[in-house]
Amino acid sequence: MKMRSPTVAVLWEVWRVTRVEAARKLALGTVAAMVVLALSSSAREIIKDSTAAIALVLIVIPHFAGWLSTAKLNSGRPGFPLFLHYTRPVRTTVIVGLPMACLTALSVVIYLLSALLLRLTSAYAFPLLPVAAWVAAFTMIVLAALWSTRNWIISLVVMMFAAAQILGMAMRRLTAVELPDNYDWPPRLWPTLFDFPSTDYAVIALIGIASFGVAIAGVRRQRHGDGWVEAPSAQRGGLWAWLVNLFRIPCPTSSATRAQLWFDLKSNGLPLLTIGVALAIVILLLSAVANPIDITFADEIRAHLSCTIDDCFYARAFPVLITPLSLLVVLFLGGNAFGIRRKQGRTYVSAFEATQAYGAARLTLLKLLVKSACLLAAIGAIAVSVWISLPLLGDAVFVQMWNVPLNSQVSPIKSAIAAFEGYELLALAVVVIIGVVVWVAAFAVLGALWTRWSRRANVAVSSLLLFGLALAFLAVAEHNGIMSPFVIDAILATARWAAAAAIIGATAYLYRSCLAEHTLTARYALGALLVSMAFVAAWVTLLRAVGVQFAGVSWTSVGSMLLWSVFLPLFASVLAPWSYSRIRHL
Amino acid sequence: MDITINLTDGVPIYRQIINQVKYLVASGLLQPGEELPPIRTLALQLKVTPNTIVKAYGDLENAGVVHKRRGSGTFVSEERPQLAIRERRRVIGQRIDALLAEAHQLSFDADDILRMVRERQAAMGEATAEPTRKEKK
Amino acid sequence: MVETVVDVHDLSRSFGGKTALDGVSFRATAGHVHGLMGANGAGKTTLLKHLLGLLRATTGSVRVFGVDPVRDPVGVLARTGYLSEERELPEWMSVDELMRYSQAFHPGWDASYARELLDTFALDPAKKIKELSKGMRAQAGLIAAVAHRPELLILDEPSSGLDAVVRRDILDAIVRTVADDGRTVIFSSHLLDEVERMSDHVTLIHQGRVALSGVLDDVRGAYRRSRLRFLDPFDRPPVIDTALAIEGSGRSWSVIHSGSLDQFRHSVSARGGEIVETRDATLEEIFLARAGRSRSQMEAA
Repeated sequence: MKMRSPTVAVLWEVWRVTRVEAARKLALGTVAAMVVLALSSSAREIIKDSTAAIALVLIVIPHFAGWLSTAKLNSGRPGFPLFLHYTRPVRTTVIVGLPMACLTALSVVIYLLSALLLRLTSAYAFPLLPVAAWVAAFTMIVLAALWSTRNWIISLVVMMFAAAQILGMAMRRLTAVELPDNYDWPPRLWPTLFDFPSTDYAVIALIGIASFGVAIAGVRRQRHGDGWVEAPSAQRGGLWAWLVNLFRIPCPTSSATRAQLWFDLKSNGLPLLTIGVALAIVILLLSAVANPIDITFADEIRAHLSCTIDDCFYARAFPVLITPLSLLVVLFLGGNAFGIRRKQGRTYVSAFEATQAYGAARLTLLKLLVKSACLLAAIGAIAVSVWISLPLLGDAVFVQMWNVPLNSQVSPIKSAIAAFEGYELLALAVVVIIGVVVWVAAFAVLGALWTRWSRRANVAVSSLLLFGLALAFLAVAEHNGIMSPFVIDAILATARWAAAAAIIGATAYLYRSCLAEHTLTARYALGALLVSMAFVAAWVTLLRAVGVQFAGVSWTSVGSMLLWSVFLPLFASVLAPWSYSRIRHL
Repeated sequence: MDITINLTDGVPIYRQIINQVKYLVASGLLQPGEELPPIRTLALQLKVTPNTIVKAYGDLENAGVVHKRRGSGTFVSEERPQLAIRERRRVIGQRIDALLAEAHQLSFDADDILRMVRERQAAMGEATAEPTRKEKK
Repeated sequence: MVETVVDVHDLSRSFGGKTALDGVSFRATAGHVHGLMGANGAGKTTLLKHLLGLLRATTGSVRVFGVDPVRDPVGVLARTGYLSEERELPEWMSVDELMRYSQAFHPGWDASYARELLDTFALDPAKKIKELSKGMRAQAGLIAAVAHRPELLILDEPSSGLDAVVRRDILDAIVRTVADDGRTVIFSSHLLDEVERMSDHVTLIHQGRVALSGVLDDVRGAYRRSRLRFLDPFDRPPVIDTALAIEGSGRSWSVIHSGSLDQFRHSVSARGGEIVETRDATLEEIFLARAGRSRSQMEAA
């Protein structure tokens, strides 16, 4: 096809790079929202309203992630991703302005399509233009922050600031009207809540112009060799590389295991731990200063926000918002325990790691344990920080935001845990530890399988999504009386049994094949079995301690629960080395 | 030891080494009893695989040009090597064949070549005679 | 008794429909340098990756030290040193950390040799790998590969993209590895003068198949290059028996041929020509004759 001008060429390139991601954003957001709505279509008004709110959040969230496909062109580093155009006869305005406009327009179109679809399939008036305008603003800010400078600190700070501002503004607007017995923004209020004044649109237009200007200026400097605030060369590689650099421990040379432990800690585990601890400290600090700030500026706050209760808060909201975000970030970073890299569209295990003289099973175990330990420590740090901050923040914030007086519930939880016996605490520890290892293993295995068989993995995920969608529609049909409830129950029961049989069969088959090709030893298999037994025992003890009675429950339920608790760790224990071996020896 | 390797004219590397060592011995630049560089050193110097040097030294030993002393290295043979008559004739014969072919291309015949050989030998004889005359003084 | 270090038998491999290796058999004997030549994309890297277990043999067999490298990665990799084509090293490690890390996996690490190489290459141990230039990376990777005195050294395109100084260092390392008793080197290169200098055995891989394989001198001896002169000029290359590649114009033609010399001479004189000069072919000429584009002209003959 002939491209008649640079404009057309750049537009074509942006489309080709982002079309898959655009389709994915549209599909995931919309399908997830529709499934959620369909599942709750037979419930009470209040629950339907809540799920409508959740659906709205679901179709907005994909736009907060930014555009990953263009970031991939630059290996995820800040700076202009289409730098190959610098040596072409095009003006900087064209190569920056066009993609930015294109990506913003795409985000807006995706949001509008999802909102329209939801409007048509449910009875709720999902907001169209106002939220789309703010999505556009956020996209433009993020693109400008990422593209105009190569210094990741500036990009990160600007993006976090923009996200915090928009989130804060959204929270303020949505909670402007106080409802006594419900969350503050039910769908019937949406037309008024989302009717933004024209000053908003003026601000968005200003933001747009400013972002374009900043981005074009920044890229122009990058094009001619002097970026703004050039990051020193040692920091090339972003935040993760800087974190890896922090800990200067000499590599042990006495044994291969210790050297490998050092390697995994430095490259994979410690950065995660550092981020977790840093977030925990941030939460603690914010909680410490929140109360004084609120008290000092109480009058100004009361003037700007409409608080119907006595205790008005502003600063106290931040730690409460950041905590779940931190947990999400830490959990997300707990993926990729195998150190799979991505470069120029290929995902692979580096040849350096694959040719170290170390067995697959031991390597996998070491990587998973290191990552899980660091993840646990990071979550622990955040938990400790939350524990300390709760008394500092007081109840009012939680009552206002989540209708739950969290602070007052701390002492009941404390006494409940104190009532645990020694062996029950041990059981709790065992369950948590093995649970985290299985979680990390699950993500690592998914990454490995995706690396090796990306096409089949895509097919599998799409089928699962379609299955979920079909279930949702069946639920709607059942609610409307078209179908009897037995159909869904039967389908779900069959699915459960099929999944159980699949896991048992897969575990047995994989163990046999791994033992045959010497990926594992018999000792490893025995160890895995013992760990699974320990997990079951701990799980049962924990349930008993919490007060769950087994007397009146049917044998099949108990049996299936025991089965799952045994086979989940076993399955993870064989899937991890097997999948790693598949990507180590292609 | 001053040896150079040339990869463009098709002569195998080990053969080039053999020829150059023979030349060095014949011209007196390598004295009888003098030690040749160890295999490893020569291989590093020339950037060739040691097995080539092994082969070259082996062939030189078979031809009697050098001999290996166990544990000490490779040394130039004490007496002048008695290269077999046939071998010497073969080496010279190859040169003559090439010369004749070239001459044919350039439209000289055998008589012209013989005349030129004698002329050039006379000229070379004078040149080598000069320094010896100077030495005698 | 010459020991077989690497034994590849009838190995085939395709990537998504495109055949990378087709029935390749390859043997490497201990104490020798084995050179792999081939055009870009011929399959050299694929073959080498099979030796390290980076690729699993789907058809045919691969045995290194008598063992399947996928089945026993530790046994094979502990005795092998590898320098990959992309010089993949962890970017965040410093040179010193790389040495210490590699040392932990190989009990036979010679720290003084490593230090000597570091000094010779003038590498700063405190520098991070990502700050090194391409040549220095190759040097760092080379030290990590040879300092533990591996029984088998595998180098994939060791000289690609490097200046003459670094290339010499790499050739030195190869020589030293082989000169120490019984150690083996397998390297692939598209720089034919290197292959010619450094190899005892050569293998030419062309479009996934082994086009020729054998002791370098034997291979060289089997091919000759002759200059011919014909009575009548030719517009198109004359067809001559046993000729593999021919170029020239008019009356003068240059031919690479192998096989029966008598047949060749007979064919030349039958076409009305004579052999002006003949000599052994260089490796480059053999390579171009077997793997170059002029081959297609002779295929028709």
